[in-house]
Amino acid sequence: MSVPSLRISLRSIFSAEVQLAFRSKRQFFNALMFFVLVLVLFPLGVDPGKAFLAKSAAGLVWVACLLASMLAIESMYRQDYDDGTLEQWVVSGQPLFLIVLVKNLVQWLGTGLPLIILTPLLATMLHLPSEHIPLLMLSLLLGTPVITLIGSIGAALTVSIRSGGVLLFLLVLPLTIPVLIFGTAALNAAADGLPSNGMLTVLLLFFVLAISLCPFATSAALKMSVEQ
Amino acid sequence: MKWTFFHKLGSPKWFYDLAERWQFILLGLGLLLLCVGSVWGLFFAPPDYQQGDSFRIIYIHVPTAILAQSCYMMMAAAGLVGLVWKMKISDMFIAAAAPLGAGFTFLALFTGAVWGKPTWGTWWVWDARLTSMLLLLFLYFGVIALRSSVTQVEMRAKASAILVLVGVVNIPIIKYSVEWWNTLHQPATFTLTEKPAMPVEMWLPLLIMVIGIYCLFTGLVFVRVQNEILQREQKTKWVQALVERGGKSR
Amino acid sequence: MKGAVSLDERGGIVSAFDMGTHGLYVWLSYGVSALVLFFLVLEPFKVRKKMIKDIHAKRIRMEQRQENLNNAP
Repeated sequence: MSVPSLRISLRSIFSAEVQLAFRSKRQFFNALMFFVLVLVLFPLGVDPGKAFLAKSAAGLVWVACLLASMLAIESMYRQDYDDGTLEQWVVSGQPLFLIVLVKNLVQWLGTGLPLIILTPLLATMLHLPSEHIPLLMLSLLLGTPVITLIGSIGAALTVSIRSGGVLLFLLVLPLTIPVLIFGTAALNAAADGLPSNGMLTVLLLFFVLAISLCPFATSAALKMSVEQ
Repeated sequence: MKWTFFHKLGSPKWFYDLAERWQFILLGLGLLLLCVGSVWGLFFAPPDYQQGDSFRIIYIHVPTAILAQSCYMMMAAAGLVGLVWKMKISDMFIAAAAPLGAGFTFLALFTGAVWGKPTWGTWWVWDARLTSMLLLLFLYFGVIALRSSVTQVEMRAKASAILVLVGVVNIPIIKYSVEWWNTLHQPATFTLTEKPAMPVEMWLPLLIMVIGIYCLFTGLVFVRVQNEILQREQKTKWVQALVERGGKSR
Repeated sequence: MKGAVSLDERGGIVSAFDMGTHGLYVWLSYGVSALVLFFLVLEPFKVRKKMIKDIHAKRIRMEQRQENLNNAP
């Protein structure tokens, strides 16, 4: 039996993952609903006034997005672990970090992208000035992949732990603080009438760093989880 | 031979005996230095010309903060050694050091907050140092939580090594992000860096405290690693014999 | 240098323990630090004692079980 070429096997993994994601849309839908609900809670719980909301909308959207992504990431490798797919990947001889990248891409398409698409609606409801909405979406576009990539390390570390949910939050959230800081800083700068290119550049830098480092840590963690 | 030392590190019994020999010296020296440094710092060092006597908190705050940060670096180094050479002792070090690191981080945070009250007027400010220390505390909690939820020994070792290494890559990023964020939000706070250099009678007790806390830390790591060894090697003959003697090494 | 007890400008006795007006803060930090350090030092020794007792008990249990097995007809 010959080993299938890397490109073909990656493509087949991608399409299989996308199909799986479509089949288990409930989980992505839950994350999306969580995102919306958290954002609805703030006007109800803190202050529905325009002054407060307009000032904090960007930060609220970012925090809600971070939490919703974490929620979806928790079970990122769970099924692959349970049905032995993970083991097959590890022994398949294909570079695991590339498979991890494909998984991350699908995960982001399932959670990050819908959140970004939903953002204009919620940002408008939170009275974010409409000229800042594209910037918010751009910052999320750069930031959510980083959150997914870092979160995937935590998901891989906790995949064999039954009650890993809260643990994942504890492991991963401190590591995502820099993304949150620069993501919201871009919006705050724009609100003050300052250029936000610098912050977006830093976000881009984080993205490059995350995409080049996180898959290796994730695949090491996955190997460890399988080898036990 | 140079490598015998390295090989001996792999022998739990050898390390147990080494720890037995050194722990009380280190603990005693550490506690002595801490007492000397505290008394010196509290009663004999001159008060700061700006902050008065509240500056004496520095003698706890700075040593615990230094140790809290370097403890994580040591854990990361141990994690790397554990992943590359699969040495059991490195995982025992992580197990022993993580709770200590969390304790010292808590102390640094607490004393920082108490120092903040007379200096800034509030118990807590979202100051860059306090905030990044808080995040460091969460990193320690993460390691401890991960360790307590994985029961299989080898997997626990690998998982915590990976986590600590990921954390150590992130620490500088977190630190600089928080510093940058802080300058954005709080341009005018009290800074310690713009002061004239400390006179000798001020920094000498500080030096003593730093050395003392490192001695104490090393001694405590020895004791805790011994506990780890006992736990993991309890089926071996030498541990059984040791238990028969009531825990005395010889 | 200030000793443990000194005189202020008007000749009253001031204790060095007062730490100016910051006594509360200084003693709070030193007190809590002493408590935490004592806990950190004592805890592993307590764990050790319990561990040795447990290992010993476990061994005696094992030996007894072995004996019971040997004595069984």
